Amino acid sequence: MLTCKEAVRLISEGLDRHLSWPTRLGLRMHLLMCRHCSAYGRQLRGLARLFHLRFTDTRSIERSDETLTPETRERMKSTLRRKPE
Amino acid sequence: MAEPPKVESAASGTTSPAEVWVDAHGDILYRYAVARVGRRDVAEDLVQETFVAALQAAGRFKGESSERTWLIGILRHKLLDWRRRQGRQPAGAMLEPDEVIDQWFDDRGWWRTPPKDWTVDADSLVEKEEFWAVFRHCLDGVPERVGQVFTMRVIDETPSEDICKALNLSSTNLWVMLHRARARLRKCLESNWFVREDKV
Repeated sequence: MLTCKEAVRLISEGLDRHLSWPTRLGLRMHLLMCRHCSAYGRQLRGLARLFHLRFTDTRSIERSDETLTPETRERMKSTLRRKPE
Repeated sequence: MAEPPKVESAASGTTSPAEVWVDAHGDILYRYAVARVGRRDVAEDLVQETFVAALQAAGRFKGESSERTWLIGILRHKLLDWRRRQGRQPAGAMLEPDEVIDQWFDDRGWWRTPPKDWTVDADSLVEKEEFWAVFRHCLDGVPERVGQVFTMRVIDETPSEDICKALNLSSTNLWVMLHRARARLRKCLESNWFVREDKV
C-alpha cells in the first residue's frame, strides 16, 4: 500500500510523464481511500491548468501592451547593421 | 506561408530585412520575454540576441513556419540559456532530502498537515494580478534549483528533455524537483491565497 508521501510524489510525476499501469493502479487504490491525497491531486491539476492558461505563448503576448522604446529599437537596428553575415 | 527572410549585406544607410524584423516582431518578442523573465533589461537583451542569432541563421529558415514562429523558437533557446546561467549551483548535483516537505508527513508517511479544502477556478484567476503577485512571492520562497527547474518547465513550457540536457539532470531528478516545487507552491498558495481568500 502506498503512503501519502509516495502518493503525492506520483501525482506530480503523473503530470510530467505517463505512469506505468501498475503504478497508476496503486495510486488509484490509494486515492479511493484517501480524501486528503485526492484533494491534493485535484488542486495540483487545477494549478497546472491555471499555469498553462497563464503562460501559454499567445496569452502571455496578448496580455501585455509593453513596447520597445524607440531608443532600444534604434540600438537593435544599428547592432544588426554592424553584424557581419 | 511567409517568404523566407532574404538578408543581404546592407550598405550603411539602406534597410536590411533584419532591421525590418525589429519593427515587425520586436514588440511581440519583447512581450513574450517580459512575461517570462519579469525584467525589462533582461528581456531587451534576449530580444537583441535573438535578432543577432536569427541574422546569422537566416539561411536555415525553411519557411515551413511563419517568420514570427521561427523567431520565437530562437528566443526560447536564448531564454533557456539565460535560465541555465541563473543557477549558481550545478543542478545535476546530488539531491538532498527536502526537510520542509518531510515534516508534512509522520513517520509512517501519512499526512500530518493535510491539504485544506479548496479548488482552483482557473478561468477567473488567470487574469487576477493580485493572485500572480502572491504566486511570485511563493515561487521566490521555493529553493533555488527547484524553483529554476519549475520555472523552465511550467512558465517557459520547455520540454523536459531539453531541461535535462541543459542542466545535466536525470529525468528522475527532474521529476522529484518538479514534485517538490509543486508541493511547496501548493502549500504557500493555500495559506496565502486559497484559504485566506474566504476570510477577506
